Amino acid sequence: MKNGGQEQRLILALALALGVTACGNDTGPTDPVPLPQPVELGVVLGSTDLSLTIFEVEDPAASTQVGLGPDGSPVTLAVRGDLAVVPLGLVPAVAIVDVDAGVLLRTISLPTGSGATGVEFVNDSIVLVANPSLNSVTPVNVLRGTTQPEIPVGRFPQAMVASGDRMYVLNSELENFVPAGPASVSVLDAQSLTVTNTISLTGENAAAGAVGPDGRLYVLHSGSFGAGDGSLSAVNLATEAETEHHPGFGDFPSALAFGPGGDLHLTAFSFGLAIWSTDFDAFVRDPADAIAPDGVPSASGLGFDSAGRLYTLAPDCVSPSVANRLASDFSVDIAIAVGSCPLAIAFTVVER
Amino acid sequence: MRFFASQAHRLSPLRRLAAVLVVLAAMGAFVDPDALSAQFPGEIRGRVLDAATRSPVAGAAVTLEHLALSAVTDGSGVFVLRGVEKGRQRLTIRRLGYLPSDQVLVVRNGAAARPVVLLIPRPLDLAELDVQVDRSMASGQIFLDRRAIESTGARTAAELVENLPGVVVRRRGRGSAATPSIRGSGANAVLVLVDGAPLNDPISGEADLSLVPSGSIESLTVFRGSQSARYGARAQGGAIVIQSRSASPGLAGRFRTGALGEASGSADWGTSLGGTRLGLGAEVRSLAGSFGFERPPEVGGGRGQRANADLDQQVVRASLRSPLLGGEGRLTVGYEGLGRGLPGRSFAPSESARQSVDRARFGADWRRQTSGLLLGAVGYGTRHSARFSDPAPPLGLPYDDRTELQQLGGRLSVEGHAGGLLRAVGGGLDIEHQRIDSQSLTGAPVARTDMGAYLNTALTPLSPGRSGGASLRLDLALRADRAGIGGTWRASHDAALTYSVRRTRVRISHSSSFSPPSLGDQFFREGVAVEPNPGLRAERVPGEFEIGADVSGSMGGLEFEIGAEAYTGDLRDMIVWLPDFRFIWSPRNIDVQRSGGAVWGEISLPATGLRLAGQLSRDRVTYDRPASDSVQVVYRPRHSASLSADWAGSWLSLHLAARYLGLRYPVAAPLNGLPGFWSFDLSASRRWSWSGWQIEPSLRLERLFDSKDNLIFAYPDPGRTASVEVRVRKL
Repeated sequence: MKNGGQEQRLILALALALGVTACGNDTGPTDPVPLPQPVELGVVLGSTDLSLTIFEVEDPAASTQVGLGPDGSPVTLAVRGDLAVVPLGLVPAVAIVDVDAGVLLRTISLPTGSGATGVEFVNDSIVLVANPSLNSVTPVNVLRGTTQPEIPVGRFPQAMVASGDRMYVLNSELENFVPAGPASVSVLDAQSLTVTNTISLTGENAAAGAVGPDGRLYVLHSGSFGAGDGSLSAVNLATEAETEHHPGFGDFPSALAFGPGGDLHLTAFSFGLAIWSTDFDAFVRDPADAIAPDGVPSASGLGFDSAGRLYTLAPDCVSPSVANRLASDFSVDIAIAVGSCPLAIAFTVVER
Repeated sequence: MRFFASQAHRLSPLRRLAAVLVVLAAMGAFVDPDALSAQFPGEIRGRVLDAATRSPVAGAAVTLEHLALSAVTDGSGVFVLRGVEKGRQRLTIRRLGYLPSDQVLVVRNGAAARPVVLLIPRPLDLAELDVQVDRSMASGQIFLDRRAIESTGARTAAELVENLPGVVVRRRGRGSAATPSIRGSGANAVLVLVDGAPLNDPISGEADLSLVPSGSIESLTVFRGSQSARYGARAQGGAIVIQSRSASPGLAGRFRTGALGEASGSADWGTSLGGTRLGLGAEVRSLAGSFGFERPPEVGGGRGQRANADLDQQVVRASLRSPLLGGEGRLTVGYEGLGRGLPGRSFAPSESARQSVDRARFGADWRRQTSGLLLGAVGYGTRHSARFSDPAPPLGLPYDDRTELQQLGGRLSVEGHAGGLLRAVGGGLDIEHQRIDSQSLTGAPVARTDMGAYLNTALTPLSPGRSGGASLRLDLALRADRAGIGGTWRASHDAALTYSVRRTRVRISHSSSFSPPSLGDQFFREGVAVEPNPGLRAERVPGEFEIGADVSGSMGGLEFEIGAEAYTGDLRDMIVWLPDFRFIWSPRNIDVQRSGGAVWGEISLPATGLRLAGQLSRDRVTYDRPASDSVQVVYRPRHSASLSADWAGSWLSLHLAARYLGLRYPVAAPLNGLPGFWSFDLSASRRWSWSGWQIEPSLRLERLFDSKDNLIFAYPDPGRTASVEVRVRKL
């Protein structure tokens, strides 16, 4: 009865409101309700202070920092729409952050001993998270906060690339954290989440990958630290086979991204920013002649916003660091304050 | 238990405290008020003065030997003995440089006796001549004697110090290692001495206070702030000086059992043979240590079972005190054996990690007072074996590291008295030789000899006899140490000015200190995710300025003591382990800004048997770097506090203690903060005398409101636990 009374009062109020609106004296145009506008956000992972720095690309001073949790060793992230997903490394869990609101939504547990590193969106609700210590990936529903059973892949998966209806899991083939053989790629069907193929690569310690404008998957191999044996593999996604392998990528390169002109940009702590032309299979700027953002011959990550502007990350792991937006001549256009030891940057568009 | 658990979920902390007080009040209501008023134990609150100058005598030992009660006079010459049975009592007061004094006085129910004791200087001895005075007066210290130690119910030295101002103990669950931090220091910058021998592990530099059972401690003194000028290298954040149980005649024992499969027992026996006193003691302790816990939501939540948190400890000790070569000699020997599981963190539990320690030690000291001089010699030796192993760790590689340490050291000291303005001058030499064989080190020197030389002096420009009771004292200490790898000599200083009038004291000091990197910092075997840094520099406090004041007194039937202190002293090259871009952890030097202070107070109403005490500390320890100078260093809570309430009736004594650890950051940014939390302990005890024995059973509830927080994230606590203990002593 009580609820029924409330409903009656609610209906009466709505009817009155409609009546008032209908009888209103429409003497002129009303102010249009502003439509949400797309706003591009940059998201930078601070690895040692467990932070996400979220800034507006067109107004980098408007930034917020979000804590990911009290413990962990995150090195990768994935963003899509309002959500950023960060595997926590040592802590077997992923942190889900609403980048629009700037809040940590939840932390979802992964299998014990996961080593959670490497993540990619399958669709708006499902991400795949790599469990390098378990040689598997775990599908995670980021909206519901649930996980599905592990999917076995190759040894020590630590990065992923999504393309079309396929997910490509980069297996580093590490043992006790050092390369134990050439890397490989596990191919998953994005619908059934089953492994359909495994691609053998030539390089060691696959660390990052991206699909180029030529439709090929490029895999950057870090090699062994201090050995200077970084390399690049090119994979034909139609035949699912490595077609090229290029050595000479310096010591321990760790991140890559394609620029608006189609050139592959890569960064390393040991040399800074190098550029590789996939058209000519040659360096535009090789590691020995690498670009030193802000005069520092070292960078820990990179990314391009939708306008094609390049951002590199300054590798300060002791103090708060910066993300440098570079001009076309690679001078620093804007330095954006970020967390310490920034290792990954990504961009997304939200509506505000 | 179920009642407490259900209530704890519903009530706020303040309401919980109020609920406890109501319960206590209700318990009190059932007591016959006539019986209470008639049977409160008394107190002795006295003062010890120099018979010649009427100036306070600090550091005098006051004992009621047949009751095993003892105290030491403070800087105002004041001492307090609580829980004294009514009737005639014989008080014994001893102080180097004075003739011993025995006083007989009558203690009445619920009243405080207030004797003033005049100590007569020995004709050929030196008034106020004691190296202990030099050490204690120059900086704030907290002294716990045997009775104070017993009253806390603490199991280990770690539990004894964690409620003290400026002291934070870092532990990784019950039964785990427990290392102290003072004024925001690292644990490797607090020197812990047991009978003169450093307890600090040569590899980590940290002292594990859980290795020292409280039953084996005669006294414990905490010196806060820079102490290198007094105690040498590593006493950069402070020093904790532990004296083992002395050989007191009689027989005493203790047995405890409780939650988590806890069982412990100890026995001590002492006798006098002519002028020689012999004491023997033994203690065993075990903990099953398995409990369920809620996994923190920050790591995904869920429920876990903590296994492998067991502990087995055995302690054997002996002491001998005897006249020797015209002075007094003391010898202590001891053995501590410990085995325990290392359970790992909640998100990475290990069921196979273990630590074992075998530690045999001796300490010997001798003092002789001759005309004009106090001669002293200290020697110590330690043989320490430790093993850390995990054949199946959840992360990283299996390990099985063994360490063998042999340590031999000594100290020679001489103190002289010049009279007048120059009250005392002294100096000494320290030397220590270490031999270390460890599988966890690569490239470390096997043998090392550290040395130190020091000079102390005390000046009294104003003495009580000339200034109507006011006194001014200047203590100066200089020390040079060669410690650590590299053979570099470092100088430290301490200058302290103390002004006392009546029972008020103001102290100002300036000091410097340092702490060398540990062998682990420089030579830890490189492996997965760990890299040593041989190029590390020593941590240094170039100048620490401190000001403090305390006052004690009485108003009507209320006794009070309050104090406050403030300090500032930046820390250069603090050693902090940080990851690099590959998440390889290695130690690095960073600069830190440091300042803070503490306030404390104690109120007692002897007529009611009630005593309330509390302290609040603030330690601002922030990274010295642009644009982030307010970021507190990782896991250094800026605020900590403790409160306690004691009520001593004739049939029951209650002790309620609360401890607060404030907000702390697990990362070097003002993010991911762990909120502060309170934890409450309640104990109740009763003492009987029966056929020549004193029997005291007690019940102790820890984490009364089931709080499960810890200083360090992801090392959960089992929450509320209960234990029962029975102490017996042959009167």
